[in-house]
Amino acid sequence: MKKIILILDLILFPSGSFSQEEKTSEIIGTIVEELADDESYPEAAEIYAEKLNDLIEKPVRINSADESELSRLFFLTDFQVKALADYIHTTGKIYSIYEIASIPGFDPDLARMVSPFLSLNSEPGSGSVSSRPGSVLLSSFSQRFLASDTSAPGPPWKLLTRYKFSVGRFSGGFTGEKDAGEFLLTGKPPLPDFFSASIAWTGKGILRKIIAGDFGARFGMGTGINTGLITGLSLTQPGYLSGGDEIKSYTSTDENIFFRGGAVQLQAGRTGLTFFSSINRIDATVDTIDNEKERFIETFQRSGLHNTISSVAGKDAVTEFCYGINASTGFREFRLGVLWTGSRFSHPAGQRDPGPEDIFDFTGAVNTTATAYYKSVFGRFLLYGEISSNQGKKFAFVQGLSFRPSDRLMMNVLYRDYEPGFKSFHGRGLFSSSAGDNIRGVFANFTFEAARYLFLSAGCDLRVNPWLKYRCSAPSLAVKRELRLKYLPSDMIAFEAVYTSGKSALNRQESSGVRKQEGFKTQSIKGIFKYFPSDNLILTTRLDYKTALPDGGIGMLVLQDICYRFAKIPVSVWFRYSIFKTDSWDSRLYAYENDLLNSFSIPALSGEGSRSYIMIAWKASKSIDFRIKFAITEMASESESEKNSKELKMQVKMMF
Amino acid sequence: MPAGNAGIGAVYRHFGYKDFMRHSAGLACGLKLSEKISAGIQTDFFAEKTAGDYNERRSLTFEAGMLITPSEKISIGIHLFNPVPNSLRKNYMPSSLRAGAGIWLNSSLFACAEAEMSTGDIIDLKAGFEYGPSENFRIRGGYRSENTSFSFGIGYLLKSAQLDLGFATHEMLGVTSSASIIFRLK
Repeated sequence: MKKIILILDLILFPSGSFSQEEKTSEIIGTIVEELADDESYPEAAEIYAEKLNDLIEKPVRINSADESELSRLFFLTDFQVKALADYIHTTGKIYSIYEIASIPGFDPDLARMVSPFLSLNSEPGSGSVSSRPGSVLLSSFSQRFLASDTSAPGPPWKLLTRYKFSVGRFSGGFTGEKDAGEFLLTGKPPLPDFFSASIAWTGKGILRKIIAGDFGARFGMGTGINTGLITGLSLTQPGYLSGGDEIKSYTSTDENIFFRGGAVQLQAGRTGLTFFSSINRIDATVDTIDNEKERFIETFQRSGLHNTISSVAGKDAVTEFCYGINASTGFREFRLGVLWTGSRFSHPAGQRDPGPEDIFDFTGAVNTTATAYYKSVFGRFLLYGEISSNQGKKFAFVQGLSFRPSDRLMMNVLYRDYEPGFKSFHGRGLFSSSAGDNIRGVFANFTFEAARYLFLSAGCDLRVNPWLKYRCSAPSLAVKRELRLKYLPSDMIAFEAVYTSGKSALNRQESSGVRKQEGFKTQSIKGIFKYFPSDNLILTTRLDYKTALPDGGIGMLVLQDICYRFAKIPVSVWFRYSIFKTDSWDSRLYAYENDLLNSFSIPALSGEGSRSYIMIAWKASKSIDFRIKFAITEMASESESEKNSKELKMQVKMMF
Repeated sequence: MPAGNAGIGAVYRHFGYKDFMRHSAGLACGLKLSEKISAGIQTDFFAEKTAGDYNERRSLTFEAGMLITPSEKISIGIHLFNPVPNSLRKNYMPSSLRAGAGIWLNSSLFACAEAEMSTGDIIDLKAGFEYGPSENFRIRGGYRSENTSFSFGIGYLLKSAQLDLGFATHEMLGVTSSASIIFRLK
């Protein structure tokens, strides 16, 4: 049987075709675009890209990995992780990517997508712990040349430097970032505007992990604590990412969500215990009452940008003390956990003159959250749920079901209720709003292999905002639908069509007093044709059409990507040319761009014009990579010339 | 004109009269990059002269295309005109991007489709077919979304000469007819 699979592998997957940098970039782009297919969270794409690049640097050694190690492949469903683990357990070592394609729940396209993140070597020891010392230094510079002056206090360029090392069971590193318009070095001692560092020790016994410095965490479904991935952005994905509870050295650049202190993870069998403590300074607008005797937090600043007078004044204005303890255990196919976490701020939060939409905003200086969650796989069902409550007796409730009636059909249903007033400062629950509360709804989707090479998936999310929200002065209802068709007739051609429609309520612009609402509707259709004529060339053509109501605006986009790797020199080139025309801001279009490593670019295209970029990657040696990208957005009309921009990005990555 | 592994070509166009004239000239070069992929590039010079106090407008740009034949029956084409940023020149010139594919559905029926977009303009979708009931005779038909235009044509191959006749509808202009003769020199 294995011989047949190996022969098929040689026929269907030409040798070396999975190790190419440009294909890997293409795969990362596809995964990121599918998972983070939501314009309201542009930063989500960067988090996904970073996590996928981490996986490339440290691939999962599937032949020696246990289920928790396999779940590092976070974009797989629990069913797929379990099927992979069961296959290795019953059949033995996996010798080729084609074998993965033959596992129930996988297909050749998914196997191709997973391949860059896997290693078929089965070196002894835990898959995630490197036995060889190694360091990675990544430094990126970028600058946007805008037609209009932003008048920011600091220089207009952005600089990011990230260093990671691992020596045996120790790992660590630092991240320094200066956003555009910020000062490079601030404070005493002078450090980049954002600086984060940590050191971690990973063990195999009871003491599983210790982190000192900056770290992130995720427990259960994330309503209590989740500093990482935002879930529920794409309607045709399961809405629930696999993976267990984790603490992790912080390497992202979100400047306000991480913890600074220490964390310890203990594990005995399937029972785990994690506790952590953190004191961190966060950004907030602080106001005073009674002749500056009392100070209070008016708003928490989340952008991490310090390039205006008010944002500089709010930098590190508040100290947050945070703590938490998590316990989880499992027996057979059932896993459950509890989490207790709290935040205490140096100043109380409140508003001088709260409006009706602010009634449920957090007030006071202390917030504690208790969470209980479970997950169970039985047969073809996956059942998961979580309930959280804070001291104001406001609840967050999530209950989901995944069902795989056959290997060709997968269905998901999820109900969530984030009560107005529920607050968890480091939580990001499944399908929550950006504020974390005031949303209740049902989400359902399915993925179906309708015929050989033809995949159909569809999803619908119906949600209610029981209280007022930004730009909507009344309780409201919103619906979002998506239909995705994929046709993969061969390893060389991929065609995808996506239809999305959305409806929500917003305040009418002209209304005053008690504001009236009107329906805001968008519909879009997108066609993507990908072609791999040879091992070193990828061509992508894309067409977008979008309509928006009530303004009646129409948006259109035609895009052509060419990715070419030179045969004789270690250089790859990405080129894109796109032409767009949109009648209004509401009919704007987004097109994901390949970018520097660990980074993603999603420009919003509105007006009439063109957007193009060229990116060159040069692998100077085994340990040094360079990337340079130059992008231009140019408007057709002089009246829109303030939207013209040029962007230059450079990056060097060293591994030693 | 063949030139080693490549092919080169030149084109000149003239339109107008003494008070309004447009000239364009181009030099092109095409090359077979691999068994399945051919590519070409053309430099273009455009000049427009208007009587009176108006300035003469001149522009230099280029266009490039790629033709891919994954199999004997299928061909895919991409064409990009003027990807040069307008900030590098005095006069604004629109850019355009075209991508399309064609397939031989059987030995006598060819079908194709194309999408085109120019800066400041909407997407133009085109689809067409060519049917050859006999070796020398061709019937053609097509649709274009811009101006909801339908077209119809016939062609006849007479030794080294190719005779073509075409008709296209237009929302505002009615029917436009055209005729051409192409001589092939061996």
